[in-house]
Amino acid sequence: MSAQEFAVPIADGLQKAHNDLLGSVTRFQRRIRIVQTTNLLPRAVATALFAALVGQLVGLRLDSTSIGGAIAVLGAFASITLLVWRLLKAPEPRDAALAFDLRVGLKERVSTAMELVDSPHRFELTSHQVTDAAKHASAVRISRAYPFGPSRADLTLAFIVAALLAAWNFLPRDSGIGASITSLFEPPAERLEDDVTRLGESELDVAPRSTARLTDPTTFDRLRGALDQLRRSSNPEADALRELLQQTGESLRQTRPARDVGRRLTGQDYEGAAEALRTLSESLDRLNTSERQELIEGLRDASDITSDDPVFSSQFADAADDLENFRDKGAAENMREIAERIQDAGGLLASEESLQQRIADLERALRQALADGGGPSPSEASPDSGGDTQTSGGDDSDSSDLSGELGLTSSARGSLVDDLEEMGLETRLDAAGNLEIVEIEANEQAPSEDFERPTLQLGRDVDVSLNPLAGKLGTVRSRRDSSNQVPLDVASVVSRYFSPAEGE
Amino acid sequence: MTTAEADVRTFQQTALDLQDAIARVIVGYESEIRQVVVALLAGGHTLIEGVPGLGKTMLVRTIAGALDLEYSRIQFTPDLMPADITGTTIIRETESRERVFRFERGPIFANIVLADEINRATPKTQSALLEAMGERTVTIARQTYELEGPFFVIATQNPIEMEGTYPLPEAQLDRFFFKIAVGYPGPAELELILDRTTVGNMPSVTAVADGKRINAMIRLAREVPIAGHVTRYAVDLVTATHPDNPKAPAISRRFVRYGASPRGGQALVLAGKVLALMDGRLNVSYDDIRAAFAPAFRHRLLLNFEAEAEGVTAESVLSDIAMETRPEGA
Repeated sequence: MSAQEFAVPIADGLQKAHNDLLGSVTRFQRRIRIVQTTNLLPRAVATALFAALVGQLVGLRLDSTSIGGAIAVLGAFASITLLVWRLLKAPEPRDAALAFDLRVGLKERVSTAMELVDSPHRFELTSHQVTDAAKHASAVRISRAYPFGPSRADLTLAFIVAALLAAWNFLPRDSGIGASITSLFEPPAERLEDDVTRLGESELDVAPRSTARLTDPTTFDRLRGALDQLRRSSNPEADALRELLQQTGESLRQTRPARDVGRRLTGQDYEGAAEALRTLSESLDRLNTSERQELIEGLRDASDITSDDPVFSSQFADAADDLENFRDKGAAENMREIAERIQDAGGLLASEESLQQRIADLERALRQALADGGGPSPSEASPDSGGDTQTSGGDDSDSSDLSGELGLTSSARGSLVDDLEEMGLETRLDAAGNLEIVEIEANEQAPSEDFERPTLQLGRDVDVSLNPLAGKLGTVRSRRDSSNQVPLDVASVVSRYFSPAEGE
Repeated sequence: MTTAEADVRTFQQTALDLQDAIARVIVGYESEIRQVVVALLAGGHTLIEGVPGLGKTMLVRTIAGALDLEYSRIQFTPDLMPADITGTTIIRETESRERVFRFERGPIFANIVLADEINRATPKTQSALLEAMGERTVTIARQTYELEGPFFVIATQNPIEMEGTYPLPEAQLDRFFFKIAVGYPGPAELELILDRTTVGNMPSVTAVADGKRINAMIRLAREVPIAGHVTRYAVDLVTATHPDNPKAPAISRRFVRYGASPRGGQALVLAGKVLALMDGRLNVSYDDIRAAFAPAFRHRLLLNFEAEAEGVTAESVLSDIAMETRPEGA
């Protein structure tokens, strides 16, 4: 064989081979797009369903169907976008050619040919290589080489998420797993409401007037947890806001045009005050000069009063400025904004009031439970006191019933006392041995040395002297119970609070 | 059928015939024979390493017999001198009783040179092969003589006898295209070897190609196109053996003292081209590069002391590198 034998001419059909090759690669590109999109479908569906599920749970948690819906829509949108992007995004021809080679096992024929065609350098075998690659590429059944086939893991994932979503939507919410899951994702306030409602139905309503008690430690714990959450939900600035609105109302009451607004504000009718302010804002052009001046001054006073709230204050000041400069439209706009803020504040205060009411109810229920000897074991008992409410076990209840149900051993009683003291609560026993929980608020004006420590008297129908330092509400509401003896083992506790009676 | 297709067919057939001819004498060792043929058709030299008695010398003699080429054998010994290889200038008396210097060619002036037990000669003598292997020329007394192509040095060495041997220097090793490790034959192959070599009529080999054809095949192999991504894969493999390359696999950075040279990369690509043609293809694939990786690099990797202490071999390092270095698109 001579060297000439290998001197190969460039094939005439290079262009045709190139076109054939491009055709194969384009077909493969299309196939890649369609197959990959199809294979991605279960994952996209799983993503969308998962977003829907998360949306529902988040919506439940935040008590907002709109946020939940937004999450679900976002998930669906992301999935669809992913699919469309996958479908429309064609791989580069060179990348597609390489993928084609590797997928079909063409030993890099097609990708080499694609590169050779685009390269300015020509090898002697270039045209033959391109022809060879085109021949091999066209012989490939692309549909067989690249079949549809989403991964089993993706299908399983989509199925699981769909099943979860279906289960969530069709599971009864009022019992079993449905109720447990719902309670996990419900907002704290609703959960608390449920707790209180359930307890109200079962125990709270009857407890004060009967022998029924919160005997279930789980229920007790839930109530206690609910109480903690309620306290955390409480807005500490509510009182300041109420005071602010009150003062603003008093200021506005001094002006003729805004008298109604002020009166409603001081009467805590925030909705009505807002409405009155809106009405006033629509009738600014009917104010005479003196009324206008009064209103300006009233608004300026209100601005000064609300100086701790810069937004509120500036709205009042702007309204006053606008009125002063006869920019009634601007003034009306500012007044409407103030009205809206008042309305919002009213809503906030109403919620806070309701919250405080619930806290008080719960505290009462817990104390009742504790006094009845129910709830958790003494070492676990920790219903800390809150607010101004001062109660003790046996409030309005029949003392003879309660006295027999204390149900605590002497050591447990001692532990309970210690625990309560650790929480900052003062405890003492009444004559019958009932445990009283007292929140001490020192009355600094009271000359404590003038009061002797109360005297412990045992026996029937004795008067129990109460410590006047017990708090500003004065007394611990408790009824005497003389039907039982004081257990001897609480003597140490008793001695801490009572002086021995003379002659005993 | 186009000329190119015919050329590729001829190449493929000749390579196949050559392997068959060798296999008629040498039992087993298919992959080793294939590697020798690849090195030969790429125009490279081969170092065959194996314990005594495996048929290394027989393999080289058979290859020489399968090719209609001039063959010479140099038995390397400690007292072998460079001039014994390259040749020397001697004084000869002409018929007119005139004394003239005349260059007497050494055994290096052949197409196929068997350097048997190359590590038994001193480094000085081993170095006599350097110029011939690298540049295919021999310079003696300021006179340079060109070696006729095709020119192949096929050297053998014994890895276990260290006494009285001189390990080949790195520069010498790097000039070998492939290093082929010959292991023990399997039981079935051994049985066949015993049957064939213990009878009166030993199988003989017939030439299947001459020098011209081999030269044409070497030229054709160099014409095979290689895509950029395949070349990049070869480059990645080369750089993966460099311990100072931060992207190199951990095993390289830990156990390799010196990695493969650019000459190693050339060997990889050239061997890939030959393998492509032997497979009937006109382009180099990742598989071709992968197949050439171990024989082209096992003698180009200088391992450090830690590797020796832990018994890590070049083979295992290369195996890890091949696994960890992923080609584009894979």
